[in-house]
Amino acid sequence: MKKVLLAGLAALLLVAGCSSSGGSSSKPSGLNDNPGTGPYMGVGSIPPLPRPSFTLLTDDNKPYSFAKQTDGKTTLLFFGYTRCPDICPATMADIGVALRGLPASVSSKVTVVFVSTDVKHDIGPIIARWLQSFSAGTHATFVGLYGSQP
Amino acid sequence: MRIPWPAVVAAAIVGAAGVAGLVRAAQPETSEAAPAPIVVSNAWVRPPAPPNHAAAAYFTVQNTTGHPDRLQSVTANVGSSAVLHSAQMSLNTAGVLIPAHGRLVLSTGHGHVMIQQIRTQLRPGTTVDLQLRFAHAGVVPATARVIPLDAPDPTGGSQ
Repeated sequence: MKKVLLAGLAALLLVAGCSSSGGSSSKPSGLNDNPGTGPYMGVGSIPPLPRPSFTLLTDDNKPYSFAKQTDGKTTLLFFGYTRCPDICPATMADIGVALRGLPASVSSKVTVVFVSTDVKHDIGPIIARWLQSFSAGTHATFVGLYGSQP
Repeated sequence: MRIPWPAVVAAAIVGAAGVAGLVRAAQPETSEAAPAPIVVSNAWVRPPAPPNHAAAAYFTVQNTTGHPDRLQSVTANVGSSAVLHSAQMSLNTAGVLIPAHGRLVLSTGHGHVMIQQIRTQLRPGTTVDLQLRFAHAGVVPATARVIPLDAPDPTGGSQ
């Protein structure tokens, strides 16, 4: 069961376009479709996508450097917006279901980063409230980001 | 392979009786109403994630007739308006065509009805009344069950 859930997480990593390799190197992703031979199960992207580098504001208005602060961490990165009733809550719900099915020792090492694409509407308190619906009951770290960068 | 003659005779008798209208086993005693031209099934709603006030409704529409029909609009008893968002946004104004004997399946990422300005809290396990208006079939009601906000897509997830 644990492996299945990890496979789900790995798939989400892929959807999020965020490889598990650190920095922006082209080091192969840890994703692996051969069960039992890598840290994750799933289908890796070829070539691996580099971890993106950007700095935005957290929902409590602190700068967050994505590349630095998620380096070496299993990270799920999702771009969405809070007024989206369809795929955004469904994706976050799937992440929550996967995380709640994991032992706390595993899920506590996962970081979920939600980046709002609705720069006019989604400000800190809105994102923070929205994320609560999905982070509840998990042991992962949820980070909501907003703003824009040049 | 030889067919035993009693079977041939029996088949002939049944066939003749059938032609004469005497074999009625496959038909109900009382005439059933024709199937509804439009059958709506598997309707469900994902409630809004606060502070959002919009919910998404999903359903499957089966067109049982031999001619195409068009889903023109949807209303819901819990919100101020409901807007059909298909996978191709251009279909919004004209509605969605459902071919003869065809189906329309709304699921996450593949079309939904956005119910805006929800007036009440949508609790999981409760239901929402939907009214689907079709060009030919008219108004078809459907009852959509409210799923927990953080539950996966019950349609099976088809992102």
